[in-house]
Amino acid sequence: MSTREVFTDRLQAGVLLLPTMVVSLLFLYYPTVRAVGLSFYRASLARGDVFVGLENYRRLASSPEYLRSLLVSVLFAACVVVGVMAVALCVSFLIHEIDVGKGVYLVAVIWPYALPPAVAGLVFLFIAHPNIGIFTSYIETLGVDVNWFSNGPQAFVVVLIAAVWKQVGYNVIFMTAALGNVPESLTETAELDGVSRTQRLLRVYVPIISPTLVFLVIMNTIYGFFGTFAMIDLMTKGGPAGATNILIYDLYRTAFQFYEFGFASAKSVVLFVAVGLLMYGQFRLSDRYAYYGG
Amino acid sequence: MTDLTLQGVRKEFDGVVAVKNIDLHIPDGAFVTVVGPSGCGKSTTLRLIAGLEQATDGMIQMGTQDVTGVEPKDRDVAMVFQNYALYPHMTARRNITFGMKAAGDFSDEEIERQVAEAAAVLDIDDLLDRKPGELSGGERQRVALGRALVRDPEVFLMDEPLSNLDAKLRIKMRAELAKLHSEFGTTTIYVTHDQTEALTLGDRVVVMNDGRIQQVDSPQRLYDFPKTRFVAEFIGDPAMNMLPVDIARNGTDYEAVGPTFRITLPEGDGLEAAAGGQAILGIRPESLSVADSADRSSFTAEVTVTEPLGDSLLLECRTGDQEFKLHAEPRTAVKPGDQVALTVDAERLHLFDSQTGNAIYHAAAAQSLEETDTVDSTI
Amino acid sequence: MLGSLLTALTAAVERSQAAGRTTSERLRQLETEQLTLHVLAATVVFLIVLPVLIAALVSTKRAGIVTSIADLAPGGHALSNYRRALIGLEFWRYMLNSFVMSIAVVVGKLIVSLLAALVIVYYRFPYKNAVFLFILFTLLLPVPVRFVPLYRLTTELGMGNTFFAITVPYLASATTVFILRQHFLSIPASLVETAKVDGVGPLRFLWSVLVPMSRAVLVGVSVIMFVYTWNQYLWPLVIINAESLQVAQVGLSLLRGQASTGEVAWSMVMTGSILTLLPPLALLVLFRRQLLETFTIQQK
Ligand SMILES: Nc1ncnc2c1ncn2[C@@H]1O[C@H](COP(=O)(O)OP(=O)(O)OP(=O)(O)O)[C@@H](O)[C@H]1O
Ligand SMILES: [Mg+2]
Repeated sequence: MSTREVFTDRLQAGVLLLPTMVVSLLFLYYPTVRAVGLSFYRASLARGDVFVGLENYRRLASSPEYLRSLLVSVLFAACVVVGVMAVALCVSFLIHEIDVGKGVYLVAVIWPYALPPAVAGLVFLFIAHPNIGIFTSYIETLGVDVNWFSNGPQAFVVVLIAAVWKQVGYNVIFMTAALGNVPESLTETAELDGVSRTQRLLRVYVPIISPTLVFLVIMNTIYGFFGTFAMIDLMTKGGPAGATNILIYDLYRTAFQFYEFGFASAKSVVLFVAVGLLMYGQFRLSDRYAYYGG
Repeated sequence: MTDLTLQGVRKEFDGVVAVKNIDLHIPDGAFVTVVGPSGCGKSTTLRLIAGLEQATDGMIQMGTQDVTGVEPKDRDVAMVFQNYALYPHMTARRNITFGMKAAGDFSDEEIERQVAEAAAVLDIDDLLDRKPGELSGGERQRVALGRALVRDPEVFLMDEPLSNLDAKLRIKMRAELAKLHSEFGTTTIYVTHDQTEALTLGDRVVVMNDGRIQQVDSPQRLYDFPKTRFVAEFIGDPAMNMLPVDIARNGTDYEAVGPTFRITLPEGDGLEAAAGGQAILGIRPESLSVADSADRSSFTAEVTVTEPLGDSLLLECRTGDQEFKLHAEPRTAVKPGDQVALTVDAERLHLFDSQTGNAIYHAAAAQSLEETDTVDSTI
Repeated sequence: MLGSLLTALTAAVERSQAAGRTTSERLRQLETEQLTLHVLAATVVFLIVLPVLIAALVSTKRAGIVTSIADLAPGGHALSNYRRALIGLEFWRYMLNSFVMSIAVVVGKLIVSLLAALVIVYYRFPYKNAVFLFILFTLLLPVPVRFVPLYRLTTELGMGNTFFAITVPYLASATTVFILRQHFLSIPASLVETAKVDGVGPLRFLWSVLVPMSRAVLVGVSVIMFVYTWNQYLWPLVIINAESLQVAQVGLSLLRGQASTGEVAWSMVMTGSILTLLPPLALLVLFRRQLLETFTIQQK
């Protein structure tokens, strides 16, 4: 590796790194530090900042609303991860098993990677609308009363479906790539041994592509926590009665509806810790699975 | 165990004909090696037998059963791949048993016993609880063999199983494979592009080129009586020298006449028909030697390159515009530019048709050309 | 005992049935299998496309009320709808802002990250690992974690509600630097040594060797960055409140508000949705090969 390092002018190096360093410091690190600082204040634009020590955190810990939001987030992220990965695994396997036309199916399936979450939210709001949704009348003939504007669990499920729909493509990108890297001869050995398709997927492929799956669990969790903000904002506004009020939405409301910046900063710090834990988890897990390459 | 018959088997991949009309019979318990240049259709043939590819035409029979349309898993064959194809996440033991369990026709005790047996034979008892990543190449190959063994298949199919190993290990595993086969006697088809492997391992060797079988014979007969110019040049290293000659009749003798030499050919089949025409004279490098002094049967050539190999001296020579190689005694005092007198071992000469490349004459016991083998093939 | 006898028997029967099957039968079996897979895959594709297909159909209708499948027949108002959304309701302004923002971020990020990756791979200097970690660590700081303090900082700088606010904070990117670094490491070291021997400077090396050799990856990361920027919602939502500066994502709900006074609200919203979807979708379809290639680097 060291043979690549042929340039040694430190000043040049500094100048070339400067843009990245300045932007990182000013717009990434500094705000984070600010958030930690601000979390010890009662801060609002109107009345200035007042130091309150750990008060914000105490409030967090004792707020049933916040705990509920935490619970909703974890549940929602878990459902997103399981839902997205189960669907994506089936779809990827399907594409993997097809002989001709793989490329076409792949593009036709992964395009929602480019789908803006806001568009996903609006389109789902429209097609699943309790009054004018195109499928509403059909579902109601099955005896389900579609009223997710007021029914919490229903709202949770509708947002979940929208979230899964948008995210499956991203997962398929990585899963098909990983499946494509499984040596052909393993598949053929399994075929000669009479291993059934499902067995082949679950016993052979899944363990082999597990490093990719670990990576996707983390990416999907982060998506579940943050990436669905636009959908929730456009579809449910966190409601009804907090049923879809995930942490990021709760944070947004604290800051930009109630203008409690200190309290919001404390919530940001919690999120930061959550992301840190997730990344650490990925690091540890992928370490454990690293030798699968051999 | 069973014998295996391929009849008029042909395989086309959209546009590319990989295998052209193969007829082959492999008797029960034989160890057959398939050798040929890259892309000649060896792997395809093997995969057709395994059922991993479907023949475009023709029939494959195992014993008396037509298996042409049978799924791979129902053919009862085991395959060993060049890259071992071990499941990376399973221990060696699990790798060995996974297929047996999937097949479902073995009881647990039976599986246990078979694994123990195979592990003892292959000397991998201590490795069973390791994963492939923790095994060396040779050990992985042994585990892959173990997996094939325990299935107790009718036929073993091996596609260049040793080519990922280093030279030493390859020789060692070669010996072990031979031992295994003599122990179990399972019909085995072994694909390789390494002629040494093909000749040392096979009772019978199948030489393929361009999707066709060129010859099926025992290793020695393949060397001594190549049926085509291709086989003659492919088997043996350095390759047989090929010199265009005219066949002339001189009284009762026949002679191969080159621009700078005349070589008398021993009496044999095919000479009479060839007389008066052109042919390709085939001489193996070890059938030429440097003569102490020129006489009637020798001819002279100029040495162009010398390569001391230790146990012999490889000379590249030129006579007229023809070039050829020969093995001389080591420490022969010649250097590039020298003129040397050469004699040929007249019993080891071959003639090939200059158009078709088919053999028309072998100086040594040419009549045994017609002798049929346990493995036979129609070209 | 009896069990194993039975299995042995059935196996024997199955084999004798299987034997004698001709190639064409086996081929037909394989074909049927493939056909089933194709049918399944087509169904999956249909389900995934369906919501957007409905949106596209609605965007061609005058009134956007479709309460049954029968209402789905395409309408004849496509042209007037798109004209009305873009011009009448001034959606073109949001689209334009989105384009300017995305292109500025892609170009800026690309330049900034190329320079950083160049230094990290080809320079020797003290604390290099620390610098690399410093950049990588920003992966832990996505917008949602810091948008509250960032909002305060930006408004304090007097940059709230400006073009600056929706571009400059995006310019540092750990992901892009990382992908470029991985790619540079896969380029043989001998190339840069040759350049050094020939006296080629770092910037010329970057421009005439690295960039041409990294075309696919550069296209790939550009698409990734474009999609990421184009789809930003939360940050523009909080930092921009002048409508003239707003981006398409947020503009969509403004469109919804404006249109809801008229009778064609939903068809306008779906029209806007399709418009907003098209640019990133077009890039994905056009550059799918480079995109897929780049993703495989990212996962490391
Ligand atoms: N799945 C396939 N699709 C198209 N062509 C193929 C396929 N498999 C093999 N071929 C072609 O068929 C021919 C024979 O291939 P095959 O793999 O049997 O060669 P081989 O003798 O095993 O060569 P090697 O020694 O390199 O392994 C080649 O020209 C190859 O390109
Ligand atoms: Mg091969």
